[in-house]
Amino acid sequence: MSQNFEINRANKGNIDFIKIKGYLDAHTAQVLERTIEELVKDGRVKIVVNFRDLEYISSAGLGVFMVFIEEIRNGGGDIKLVELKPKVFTVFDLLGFPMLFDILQHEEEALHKFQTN
Amino acid sequence: MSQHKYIIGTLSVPAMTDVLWEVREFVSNCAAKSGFDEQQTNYIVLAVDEICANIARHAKEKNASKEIIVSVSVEESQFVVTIEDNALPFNPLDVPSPNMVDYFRTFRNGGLGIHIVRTVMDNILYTPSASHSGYNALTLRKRLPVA
Repeated sequence: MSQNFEINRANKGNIDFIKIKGYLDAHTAQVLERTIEELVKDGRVKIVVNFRDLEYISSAGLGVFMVFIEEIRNGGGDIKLVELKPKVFTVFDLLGFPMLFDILQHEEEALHKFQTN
Repeated sequence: MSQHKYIIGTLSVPAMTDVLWEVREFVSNCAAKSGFDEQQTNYIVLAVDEICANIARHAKEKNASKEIIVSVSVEESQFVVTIEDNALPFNPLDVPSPNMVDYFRTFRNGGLGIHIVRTVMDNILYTPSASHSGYNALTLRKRLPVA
C-alpha cells in the first residue's frame, strides 16, 4: 500500500482553492509546487489551501509554501492555510510557521479575509 | 560494562524519494510498538523521513544502486534508529540551524529538515563512510517513554 497525494483545484472569482489529500513529502511536494507555480504565472495570487484530507507533511511540503509566499505577497495576494489536522499543524508549529502564514480554521474565514482586505 | 540491545527490525530500500512512505510505515510501527504515543511516534517518523529524503537527494535520484538501510533497536532506555547509506558522504549536522525569525523575515527556503530532526530527537551522531565499511551512518536516539 503506497501513500498517495492528490490535488483538486477550484476557484471563486479571483480566489483559488487547492484541496490537498494524502501524504506531502519530498516525493510528492513537486506536484503541489507545479500547481502553485501555474497559478502564480497566471497572476492568480489569492490562494486558499485546504488541508482537511492531508495526513502528513514533511519539510519538503513546508518548503513549497516558502518558495512562493514572497512573490505572492508582493503581488498583493496571500496563501492562506485552512483546516489543518492537529498532527499536520504540529509540524508547522514546530518550526514557527504560524509567524509567517495565516493558518485558519475554515475556508469561509479565508474567503472573508481576502474579500475584506 | 555490557549494554543491552534489542533489535526491533531492519528495512532496506533504494535511495529514492518514492519509497519514503515505506520507511515511514516501518518506523511508525517500530515506535508505536516501543510505547511512544501518537505525537512522539509522528515526530520520530518525521525525523527519519527527513534524513532519508536528504540521502535520496544526495544519491541523485533514480540510481537504484544506492540504498538506505534503516535499523531500529532499543538500547538501554533509548529508542535508536540507525540510517545507513552508500551514497556520497554528506553530514547533515554541517547544516547550521536557522534562526526562524530571520528565516521568515528574509523568506528563505530549504535547510529545515535537519532543523526538525534536531528539534524532535535527543541525540544525533553522524559517521561518514570512510570509517564505516563503505556506508555512511546516522544514528538518531530518543529516550523511551516512561512506562
